[in-house]
Amino acid sequence: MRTFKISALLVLITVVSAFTTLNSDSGYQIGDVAADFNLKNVNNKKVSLSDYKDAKGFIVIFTCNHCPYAKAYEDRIIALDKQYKNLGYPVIAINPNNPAVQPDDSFDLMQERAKEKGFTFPYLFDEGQKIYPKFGATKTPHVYVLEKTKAGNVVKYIGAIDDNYSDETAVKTKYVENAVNALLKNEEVPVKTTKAIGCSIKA
Amino acid sequence: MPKKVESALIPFVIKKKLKSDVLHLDDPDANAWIEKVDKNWSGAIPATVIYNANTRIFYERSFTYAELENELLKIINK
Repeated sequence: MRTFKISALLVLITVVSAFTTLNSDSGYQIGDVAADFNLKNVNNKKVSLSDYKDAKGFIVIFTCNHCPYAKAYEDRIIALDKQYKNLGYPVIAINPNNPAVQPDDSFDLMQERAKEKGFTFPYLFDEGQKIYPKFGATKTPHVYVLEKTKAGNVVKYIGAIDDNYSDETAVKTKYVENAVNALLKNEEVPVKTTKAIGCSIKA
Repeated sequence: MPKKVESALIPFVIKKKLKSDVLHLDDPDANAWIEKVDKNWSGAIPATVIYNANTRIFYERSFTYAELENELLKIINK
């Protein structure tokens, strides 16, 4: 009887933890092929990954207007695009937030912000909040580095841009740069996932 | 955010007349501590931990006052 009770308890724990894992790990994992999308850019033109014939991959960043963490990274996102676009890894920024929940993230204000900051990359609106759940993005900013292969755009890095959201000059490890640099050299990405702090996506 | 303590955090505490202790986690290397708070935390805020000597529950979500009170009461009455 006693053995039975213990094993019943173990089963319960397994079921609970399996459920939790499923929940927190939904969306793309390292090695998955990311589906393409077709989203409206701030210039009113639709953008898909397949438009980029010469790209070797992409730095997909879920970001937005209102979030202080996203704002703290704006200049670094522009710098990433300037540095890596010509090397074949352009930044594709996507605002996943629903403006009905967070009015600061409306399409009009996205256009305004992109102009103000001189964004050099597309800043796309995830209309209907349909794309971010496929990726499994949970916050802004949240980065997915994709490598273009014959099989599709393979997820190679998920997480934070670097290890200091607050002070760019105090950054020790640049996770996204290290990932893209490794991919450009056909090497293994050194750190494949990190946990990024950010504002929850407002769907 | 460390740069916003004076301009945003302290004015907020005063405006909302917060009586409880308010701690500021002044460590910008979030990847180093997110999993130490809870292994299921993706890093999105707001995030909440309610705990006592016997129970510890983590939430990665927003609450209304009533929802938060309800969760708290569940733990207190356990």
